[in-house]
Amino acid sequence: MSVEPEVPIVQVEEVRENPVLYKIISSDNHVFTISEHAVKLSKTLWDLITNLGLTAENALDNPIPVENVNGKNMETIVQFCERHKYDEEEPEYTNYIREFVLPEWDRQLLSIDNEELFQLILATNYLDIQKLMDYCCRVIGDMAKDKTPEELRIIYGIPTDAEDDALERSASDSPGPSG
Amino acid sequence: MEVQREINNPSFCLLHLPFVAMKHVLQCMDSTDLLRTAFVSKRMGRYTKLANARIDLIEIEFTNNRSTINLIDFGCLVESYKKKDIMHVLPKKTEEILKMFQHYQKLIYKPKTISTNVLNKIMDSANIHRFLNIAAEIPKDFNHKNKFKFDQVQYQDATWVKLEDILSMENVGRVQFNRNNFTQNQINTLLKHWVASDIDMFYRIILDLNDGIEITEVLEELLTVQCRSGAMTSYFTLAKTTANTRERPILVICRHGRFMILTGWRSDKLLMKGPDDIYDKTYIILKFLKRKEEIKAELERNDLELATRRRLGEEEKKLVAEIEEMNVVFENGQAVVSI
Repeated sequence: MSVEPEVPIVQVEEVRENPVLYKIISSDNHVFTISEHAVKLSKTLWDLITNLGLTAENALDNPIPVENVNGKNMETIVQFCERHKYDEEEPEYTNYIREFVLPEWDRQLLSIDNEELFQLILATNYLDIQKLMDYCCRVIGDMAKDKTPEELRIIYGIPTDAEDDALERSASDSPGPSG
Repeated sequence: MEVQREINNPSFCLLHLPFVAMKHVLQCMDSTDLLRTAFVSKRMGRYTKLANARIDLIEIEFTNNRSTINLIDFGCLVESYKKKDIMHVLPKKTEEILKMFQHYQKLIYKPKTISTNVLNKIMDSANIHRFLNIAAEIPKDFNHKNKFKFDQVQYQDATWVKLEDILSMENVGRVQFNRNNFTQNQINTLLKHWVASDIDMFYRIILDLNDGIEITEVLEELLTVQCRSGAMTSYFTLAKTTANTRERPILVICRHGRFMILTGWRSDKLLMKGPDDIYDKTYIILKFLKRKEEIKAELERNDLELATRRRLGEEEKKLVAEIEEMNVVFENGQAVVSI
C-alpha cells in the first residue's frame, strides 16, 4: 500500500524491509511522514503509537498530533530520525560523562541559531530522543570550549550573583497569591 | 562556525532549559569547560554539583588562608583559581569543597599544622581513590580508619605513625612517609616482617630513612637478585611464605637517596618492559636461585645416596647454565642483572 502524504515536507528516503509509515502533525499543522524504524527513536511517539494501537493498515489514516513541536523543529527531528534509524544502539553512558564524536552531517543539521536550538532541545526532550538530545547538548557544551568564566557568563546568559540575589529579593518581596 | 554563532547569537539561555536538559549539557562538557562554567556564579556552581557532572583533572590545595583549585591536564597546570577569585562559588567548609569536586585528582593540605578535627573531616570526605598529600604536622595521637585506605597517600609528617601501624597493614595501596621516628631496629623488623608475611601488606611504601640507617644487614640475609638500571639499584627477592594468599610475591627493595622504596609485584605482571626482557624474567631467576640454594643444602648432607647426589649435581649444573643464559652474573656470590 502506498499513500502520498498531504504535505510532503520531508520525504522518507528509503524504506528497506519495513514499509510501515506514520503521519505526524506539528503544532502549526504541517504534516510529516516517518518510517517505523525512524519513529522508534522517539520514545514518546513510539509509546503513543503503541498505546493508540496503530498498525500498518491504519497508520496513515490516523495522523498523530504533536502540539508541543512546531513544523520547523519537526522537520529537523524527522530528518535526524530517518538518518539514524538503522544506527546500532548506543551503550549506556557511565561515570556521568558523555564521550562521543559528533558526526559532521549532524553538526551541519544543528547549525541553527541559538533560539532555534533552544526550541529544538525542548522538542527533543519532550519527544524523548536520546541521541538527538546528546548531539544538541554537545553543540551547546562545545560553545564553552576555551572560554573564560566571564565569556561563559555572556555565552550562556548566566546572571551574576548580585543579579541572582536581587532576583531572589524581588521574588520574596512580591506579594503571594493571597497578598 | 562556533565563532560565528557567538557573534550572531550572544547568548544561549542555559538556565532556561529544563534541569534534565541542562544536566545533559553539563555532562557533555569536558573537565576544563565544566570547571570554568561552575565558577561563573554561585547558582551555576550548585547546578554543576547537582548535575553530578564529572570534574576531574583538578588539584585542590588548602593553604593557611586560602584554597586553590588547580586545573591540571597531563600533569601540567592549565590554570589556577585562588579562593579570592572563586569565593562566590567555593563552599566555606573543607568537606563541602571536597564534595563539590569529588572527582579531583589530588588533594594537598599545606598549612603547617592541622587539628584532629579537620584531619578527621578530610579523612571522612576525601575520595579514597585519589591522591592525598598532607604536609601539615599531624597530632601525635592521630588515628583514623581511612588513614592508609587511599590509593595513594603521602604524609610529610609521619612522626605519629607507629611501627605497629605498618606491621598491621593489609592490602594497602601506595603510602609515603617522610619525616618519621623509625630506628634501625624498627626498619629491620619492618623488612623481615614484610618478607615473611602471609598477606600482601601494601603495594608500595616509600620511607625517608633517618641518618645512619642502612638496609644492607637485612638484604644480606635474603636471597636476592640485584637489578641495575642506570644509577638505580633494586634488590628483588621472593616472599618467604608457603601460603598462596600473597598475590604480590615478588618483593623489590630499593634505596634511592634518603628513601627506602618497598614494592610488592605480582608474579604475572612485572615492573616494565625494557629493551632487554631480562627484567621480566626476574621471577624465574629468583625461582632458579631458590632451587639452587635448596640443592646446595641437600648436597651438604652426608647420608645422601650416590645416585641422588649425581642427579642433584646434574640439576644444579643445568640451573647454573640456565641462569647464565639469562645474563645473570655473580659478583661475590650476589646475582646481578643489568638493564
